[in-house]
Order: sequence, then structure tokens, then C-alpha cells
Amino acid sequence: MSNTILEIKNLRTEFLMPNKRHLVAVRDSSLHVDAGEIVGIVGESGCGKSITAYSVLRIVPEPGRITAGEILFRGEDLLGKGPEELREIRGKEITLICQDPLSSLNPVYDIFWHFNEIFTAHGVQKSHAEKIEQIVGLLGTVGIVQPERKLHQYPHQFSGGMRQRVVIAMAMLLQPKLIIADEPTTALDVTTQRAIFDLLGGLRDKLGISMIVISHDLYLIAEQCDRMYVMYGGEIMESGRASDVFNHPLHPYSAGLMDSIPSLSFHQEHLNGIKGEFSSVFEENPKGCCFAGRCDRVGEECLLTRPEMREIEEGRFVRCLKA
Amino acid sequence: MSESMNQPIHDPILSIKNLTVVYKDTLFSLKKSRFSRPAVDGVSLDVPHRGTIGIVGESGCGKSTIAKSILMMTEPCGGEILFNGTGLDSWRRNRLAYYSKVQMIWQDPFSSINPKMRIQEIISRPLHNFFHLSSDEIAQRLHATIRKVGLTEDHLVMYPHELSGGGRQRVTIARALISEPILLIADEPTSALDVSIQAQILNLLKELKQDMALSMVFISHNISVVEFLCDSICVMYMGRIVESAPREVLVKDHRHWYTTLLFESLPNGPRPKERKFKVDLGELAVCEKGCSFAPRCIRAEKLCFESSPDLVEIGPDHFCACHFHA
Repeated sequence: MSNTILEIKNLRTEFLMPNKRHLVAVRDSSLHVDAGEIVGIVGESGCGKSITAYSVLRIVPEPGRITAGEILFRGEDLLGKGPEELREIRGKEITLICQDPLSSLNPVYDIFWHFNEIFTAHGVQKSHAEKIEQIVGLLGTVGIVQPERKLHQYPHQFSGGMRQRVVIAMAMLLQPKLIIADEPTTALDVTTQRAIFDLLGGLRDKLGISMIVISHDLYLIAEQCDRMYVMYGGEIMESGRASDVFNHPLHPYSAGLMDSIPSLSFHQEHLNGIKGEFSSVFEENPKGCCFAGRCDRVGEECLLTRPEMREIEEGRFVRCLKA
Repeated sequence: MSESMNQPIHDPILSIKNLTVVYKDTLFSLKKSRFSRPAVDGVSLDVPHRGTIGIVGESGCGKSTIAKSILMMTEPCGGEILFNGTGLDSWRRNRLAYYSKVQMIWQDPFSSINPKMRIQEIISRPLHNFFHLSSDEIAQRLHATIRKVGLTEDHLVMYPHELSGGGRQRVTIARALISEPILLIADEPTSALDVSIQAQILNLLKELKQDMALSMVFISHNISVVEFLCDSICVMYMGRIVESAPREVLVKDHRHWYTTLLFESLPNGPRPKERKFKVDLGELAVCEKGCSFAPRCIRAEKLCFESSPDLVEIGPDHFCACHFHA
């Protein structure tokens, strides 16, 4: 058996808009996650990174449709599964940590109820005492002090960072093979962000859970992940080992994302970011590179030919004619 | 142009002295008679004319409360704020004149502009409120302002929902600047934006600051953003300033352990480095008597839990409130 947990091949997810136009949110994207690996997806809002994650769980919101490609989870194609089979996988084999910890817990129920619901949904037969023991152990693992006391408290009694820890504990309850974390720290302070990522990294080291982490912060992804994918306009623009992409970005978009963040090591008078703003791609098969309008290395050929993914060295891919 | 230009400008333009703000329990508050910590506790700072002061800290540290106090949106319990040499108590009687000189940009560009108004109405609103100008003058200033913030004439007839987050933030900046203020309060203006758009907005604010001779109070939780824009930086924790210094000094030679924690928390790419702190929030214990950071501090000793350190000068313009600073 291969080492690959998840493999996405040429995924295409479209939204049929009311004006009969197709918005292609994810186009021709391929990525894979190996066992015990943390993979990052980085890009601006609207680049298709969340929709890629939702496609894996088959929870793309209406009117979105997965129109092409394959999603292989431990060798089985998720796109061929029925609703019952998917329900078995979601929350048990693959779990999702959402962006906003403030709204991912139900305010009218206590913490125990949230965990118990997962047991009920997946038909786990356990006595009450066993459930309590497992949940308390898990809450301790994610760094909640005095978990027995917290079990019957309500979400509003927790700070943002603590709520996100509860959500992470919930995601780990049934020992999943893959956790998808969709911008898990965007709503949180930098110090809390650091603590949450220390926790996620520790869980991977201890339990060997694979993860996909989605963020718009390239520094964060480069620091926390083994490999990363840079997305723009629904396409993967560059991929490779996180340190390689960070130290030698080949695609002008990756380089622009890095230049957008003020550096503390030397004082800058001006940030060389990326000009313009992202606009959605509607065409079925666009001519030219979708980043061409914002690129500072753009040439004539970029407007005419759509670049293909090229392997520069082993495991290092880029979708750019100029790279 | 506006009469503010004719008045002599006092330096420092804004002076906060010993400001204390306590939010009282509301009538139906569930947790009454709890130890109520002041949101802002004895904060003093000066904003020099044409200078930019950055305030950094985690959520709940009181940085937005300072902004609200400057904007007369919350009633301070103690201390005073002087704008252009005059106390806010006097300005309270003449709010229109005050707001024509002190303007603000808010965090969320989606909720800070009226979705039912066209962009031109939103941006020109302050002119209608503060001055009696002819429609020609208003149109002239409107066009001059939108060019400054990088919008085009086409945007003027649009509604907010037609713009992206970055576009909307440009609208709020234009609205803040059209009355030609001398002090701008920016409360996390880029935290709702993508990094690439954040870079554009930061560049814009930096240019405008120079062109329009603005003084600015810039509030953010991200120390690298503050470093880019500000001349001097105040670090706040639990309502108090724990360290303040000119930009270069704070970046290279920060002494307070909380400032160190903030710097170490920043993601900095795949450069493995020795970390002094293991960031673990655990429980945010409140230390009532001593230093409020003591429960999280690696260097906390008995003294830290017993007496609260004062903000003392440890170098030129460098203040730090720590018993055992580095």
C-alpha cells in the first residue's frame, strides 16, 4: 500500500451563477498528502483554497459542482460515494477545523454535548464514564487546564483560543487519518496563533495525523508545513517543499505574496507587493495565464498561452512560462 | 481651505495623560460584583505633530478603548486627553469642529460604510456635515480625494457591495481624509484584508501621511505592520503600556518579556530558531496585585506577583514596566 493518504487529480469545481455563467473556482488542480505530513495551501481570498478543501469533504455549497477529476482517499474515490458512505467518512476519517471558532460551536449546548453528538452520529457504543474519560483526556492533550470542570461549561465561557482548542479536540475525537484546517487562526491573536500551531505540530508528531492547513499567510505556511501549494485563480501555481518555495519562489505570485508582508529584519520604506486585485475567472478555458494582469514579469506569450504545470526539479512544480 | 490650517498647531498634537477607562457592569449583567479590571489603566502617551504612534497588543488589551476615548465615544473615568493643546472637555461642546480635524478608519470595511449610499455620497458626507461649501467645491474636493486614495471616477456612482474589501477600505480612507484632518486614528485598518491588499493599503497610508502632514495613531495586533508605518511603538498588555520606544529601538532592543513574546509569535518562514518562549496560554490568570503579565511570564518571580512594576525610562525615550527586564 502506498504512503499517500489523499490524492486529488485534476479537480475542477464550478459554480453555475444565476446569469448562466460558470465560475470556475478550482481548475485542474492536483495535490497529494502523504501519511504524517502537513501540507499547506496558500493564496488570497477567492483563489479556491477553501473550495478545494470543501471538495474533498464533498460539502461544496450550492450552486457549486465538482465537474471533473478524482479525489482518492486511501485509494478510494470519494466522488463515487453515496451520502451514507460520505457521512461515515466525514467527522471520522477526515475532519474539518473551520476558520471561526466563535461560530463553530453551538452556544446553547455545553462542551460535553458537542463531543457526545459525534459519538452518536457515528454510532459509537460507549458507556457514559468511558466517554467522559476519553473527552477529558483529549481536552488535556490540547492544553485545556482542569478539563473535568470545563466539560459542562458553555462556549461563551471560553476565549477564542480556548474555543479553537475545543474544536481541535473535537476534530481528533475519532482518531481521523486527515485533518483539514481552514484558516484555523485568522480570527485569533498572533500569540494564540503560535500556540495553536505548536499544538497542531505536536499532534502530528505524536499521533501521526496528516493535515492540510489553509492560510493566506505565506510565512506561516512556510514555517509550519512540510510541503506547500500556492494557489491563484483556482489553479495551483507552484508547489514544492515549503522551505524551497519560501527561499526560492519561482512564480512571481509567490514572490509577490512574500514581499507583501513587512519584514522586521530590515526597515522598508515601501512594500513591493502585488498590484491590482484578484478578479474571478469565468471563461471555460481562459487564454493565457490568469495572473498575467497583475504580474510584473508579464510578456506577450503570457497573454496567449495558458501555462502548464512543469516539474523544475524533483517534487518542485511551477505553472509559469517565465520561471 | 479648512480653518484648521489657519490655527497654530500645537506640538504634541495629541497628549493623553493618565487615562483610565472602566466599563461598568450593565443593569442585566450576569457577573456582578466581579473584580472589574479597568480596560485602560493609567495610560499616558504623546503624539507629536506629523508623527505616527503605533499601539500593539492582543485583543482585550485596551487598544481600541484608547481609540474610542480619543474619539469621545467612551467616557474616561480618570485622566485627560488634550488635542491641539485643548482638553477634550472643551472640544465636547464643539464636536463638529473636533471631528473635522480628528478622523478615524475602522477595522471592518464591510460594516463601516452604509450599503445603501453611493460611494460619492459616503465620501462627501463629512463635507456636508462640517462645512458650508458650494456643490462645485464639494465636487472638486471629492475628485481630488479619490485620486489620492487610488480610486477612479467610475467608482463614484457605485454602491459598496460592488467593491472588494481593499476598495472599500480605500473609500473609508477617502471619507476620513476629505475634511483634511490633522489627526487620523486607524484601528486595525488592515486586519480584515488579504496580505497583498494589506501591502497596498499600508503603502497608501504611508504616502498620505507624508503628503497631507498627518499625525496618526495606528492600532494593530501585528507588530510587523506597526513597525512598517510608525515612528514609535507602544506595547500594551491588560490596559497598561508595558513598553514604549522609538521604532528601531523596539525592534532591535526590546526589553519587556511580553514584547519578546509578541516578536517570537510572528511567523517567520522556515528558519528554525531558538525560542525563548513556549507560548502556552493555558488559563489567562489575572494577577490582581502584581504585574498583570506575571502568570504568563517565564521570568516571573515572587516579587512580580506582589508588586506591580512602574513604567521607567531605561534608555533614551525607551520606557519599560518590568522588574526583571532583559
